Amino acid sequence: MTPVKAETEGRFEVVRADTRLENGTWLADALVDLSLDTDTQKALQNGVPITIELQFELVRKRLLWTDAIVLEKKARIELRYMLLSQRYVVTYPDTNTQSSYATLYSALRQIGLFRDYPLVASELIDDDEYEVALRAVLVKEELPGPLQMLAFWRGDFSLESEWYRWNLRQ
Amino acid sequence: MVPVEFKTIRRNLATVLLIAAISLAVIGLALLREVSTNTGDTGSLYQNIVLVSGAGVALLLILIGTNLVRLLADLRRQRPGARLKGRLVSAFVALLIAPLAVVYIYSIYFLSEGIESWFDVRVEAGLDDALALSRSALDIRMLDNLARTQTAADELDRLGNGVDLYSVLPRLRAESGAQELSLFSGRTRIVATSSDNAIGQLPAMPTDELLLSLRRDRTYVALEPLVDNQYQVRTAVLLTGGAARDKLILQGVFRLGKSLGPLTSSVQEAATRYAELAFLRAPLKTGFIITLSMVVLLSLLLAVYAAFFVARRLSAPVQNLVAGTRAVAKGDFDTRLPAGGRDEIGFLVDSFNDMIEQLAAARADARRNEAQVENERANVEAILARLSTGVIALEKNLTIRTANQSAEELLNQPFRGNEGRFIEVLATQNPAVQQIVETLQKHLEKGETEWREQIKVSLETGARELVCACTALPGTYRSRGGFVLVLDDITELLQAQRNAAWGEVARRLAHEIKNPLTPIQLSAERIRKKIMNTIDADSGELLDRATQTIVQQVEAMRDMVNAFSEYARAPEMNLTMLDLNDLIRQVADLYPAQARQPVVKLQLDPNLPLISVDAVRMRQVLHNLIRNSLEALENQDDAAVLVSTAKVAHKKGNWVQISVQDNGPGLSPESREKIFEPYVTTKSKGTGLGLAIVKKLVEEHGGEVAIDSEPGVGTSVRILLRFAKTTGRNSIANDTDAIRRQSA
Repeated sequence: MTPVKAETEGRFEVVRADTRLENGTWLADALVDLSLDTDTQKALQNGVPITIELQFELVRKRLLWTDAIVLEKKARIELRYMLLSQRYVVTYPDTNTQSSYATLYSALRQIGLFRDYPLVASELIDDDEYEVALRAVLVKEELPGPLQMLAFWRGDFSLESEWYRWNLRQ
Repeated sequence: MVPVEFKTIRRNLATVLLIAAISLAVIGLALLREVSTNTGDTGSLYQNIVLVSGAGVALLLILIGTNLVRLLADLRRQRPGARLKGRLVSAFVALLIAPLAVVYIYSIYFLSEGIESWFDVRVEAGLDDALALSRSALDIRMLDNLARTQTAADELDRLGNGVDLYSVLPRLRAESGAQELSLFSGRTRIVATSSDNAIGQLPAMPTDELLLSLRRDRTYVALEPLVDNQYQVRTAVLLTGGAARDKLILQGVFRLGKSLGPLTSSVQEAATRYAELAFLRAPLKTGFIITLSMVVLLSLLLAVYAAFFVARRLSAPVQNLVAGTRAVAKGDFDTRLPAGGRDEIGFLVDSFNDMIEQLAAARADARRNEAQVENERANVEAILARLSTGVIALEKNLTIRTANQSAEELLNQPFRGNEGRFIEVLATQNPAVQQIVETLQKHLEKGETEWREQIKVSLETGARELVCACTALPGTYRSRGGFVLVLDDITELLQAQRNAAWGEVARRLAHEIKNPLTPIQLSAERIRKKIMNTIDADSGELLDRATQTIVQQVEAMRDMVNAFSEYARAPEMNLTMLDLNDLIRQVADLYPAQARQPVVKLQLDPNLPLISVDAVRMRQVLHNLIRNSLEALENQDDAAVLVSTAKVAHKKGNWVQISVQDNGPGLSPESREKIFEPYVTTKSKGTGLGLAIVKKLVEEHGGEVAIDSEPGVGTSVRILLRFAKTTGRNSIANDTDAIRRQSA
């Protein structure tokens, strides 16, 4: 088993994100700083897969009324540790692709570099002002039952970033 | 009392809550067990499951809390059955907690030990060894692949820059056994590639990690997992020629092969699973313990609620019985307990209901009998009250049990209010009662309990002849009987008999004596007339005196005979409404004040009501009385006669009293007792019929005559005549009728 270093605190933070229109589709790019706390690392290195979710919201801004969420999208990325090859495997279920890394840092860095995510087709939105919100969340519901219980009673595995917001049309 | 509707609603609500609580708890526990033991993906159920289970437990706690509060309130109010219910609940809970606690503790212990036993140290070490062995085998394979790549790189270096890569590279790939062999210039430019993939897929580009390793070690080798549980070995070496920035990289991709690939995958899978399980055992134990705790808690709560339920079911009939008994003790026989079950308590409830019904029937009978007895008693009392015969009931010890009004009037002695007192005590204050008691004791001394005797008793109003009959009362188990004295006033009866006898005498006298009187008188006068002139003066004077005497005596005898006739004669009553005061004044006027004649004074009640009397008879009564008084006062200096009238209450009725009072010599007690009898007189002259006639006439009016007299002080004769109180001077007719009825 891979030893885990001294206690560290996990942190999810969206460092930067933007959108661009390409071939009639608004694509999102994001740079997310991901680091796992000791318990999560320990679980990961003991074969427990963890799922990180990038949650997008497309919000239509309104002057005289509360803003309306017109679109919610979630992109899931699974991270697991292979004991035999001692490599971290990053899997994108949406595209059924994966890559492996020798270090957790490399794997998390790869996950944090989120590119070319098709957010919405341009014809589906009007000329109003739209805001995009993004946050990264460790999905507790994907954890095994016993860990969910710990998450429920002790608040473990509670990793999520603040919402990062920007205008769709920057 | 709580309304039935509210009770039903509360009971239904409790049932619904109970069902909901049990359902929630069971569902929650089932899911919790699933989640706690499942190490795979369970979605977002866990939070909801805990909430559902918690809600079930909370509902049960509410139900139990409600029952507990109600039980405590019942205990505080000391409601029937509350203590029994409390004891049952305590006993049930105590019985439940001990085995449940033992099971819980041992379950925790076995759970912990059981889960720990899954993870054997030797298995873990073996698995680690297997991993190390696999890694060693793979390392050899990877190093071999790296060496093959290095050989190919060396061959390329040896061939130099002008080599035809499109022909050399496939050869080198085939010689090295790689699946793919590619030559990169820097990170992104593909110089040449050869692959056994016929599709012509682009080669995997060098990763940052690969470049970093090359910069550090000039070689790179890694076992990379693929999507379909396959593994590949990626190798890379730097070619020696070329500039530093555009160094050529030869990258090879090798498949693990048909034998090693599945084995690697299998080892990887097993190791990962075991590591995950080993890691999850602590949370798994916690999950099991939480699940077990929830099960135990739920079982405990259900059992406690069941304890309340069973205690309520068991104590309810007892509670009803206690309440029913209390109600019966307070006299409520309408209480009926709800029908019991088929057990002994149900039998007890049914028996109680039967007993209450019988008690209620018995009480109803007793009340009926009591009412009947009371009615009979009231009837007897009414009859006794209306009897003119006096009745006195005495206990065996001669204490007064009861007496009727007539007895009180006859003896002028109140008995009611003196019940329970010895009659001897009353006798000391009342001579009439004393006479009765003496007669009674005389017979009792002789052992006679059934006797009849005529007794003459002395009352203030005069002597009365009573017939006293005594009868022994039958004894009961409580009292040994007593006596009933029945008193009949036969004074009037005797008087009437005497009057009848005297009337007969009078008639005979009138007939036998009156007839010869006229011839006697005429003969005497003729003798005087014939002989007077033939005899000398002395003899003539003697004759004259003698004949005069004969004539006077004959006159006197005629008067006497007339008086007898008057006494015997009983013409019809002619009742009219009269003002007695006027009548008295008229009669009194006939006795004006004269020398040596007493003054007749009047003291008349101006409010005297009109009264129905026979004016002739009443006038005679007044004449007789006044004349009697005047005769008694003859030759007395301060003689005076007072005639007064007044309304008086007598024998619970309204009466008019005429009193004729004089201050004459009075009567001795012996004379007073016989003064109303014919031929009884204390005067030197008179027939002795005056007061007898007064009494007769007054009694014909339904009235009473009494005499009070004291020697040397005077005499007072009182006449009492009844009148109806409702009739005044304006209701003459009614009054007349009433008096007529009395006379009749």
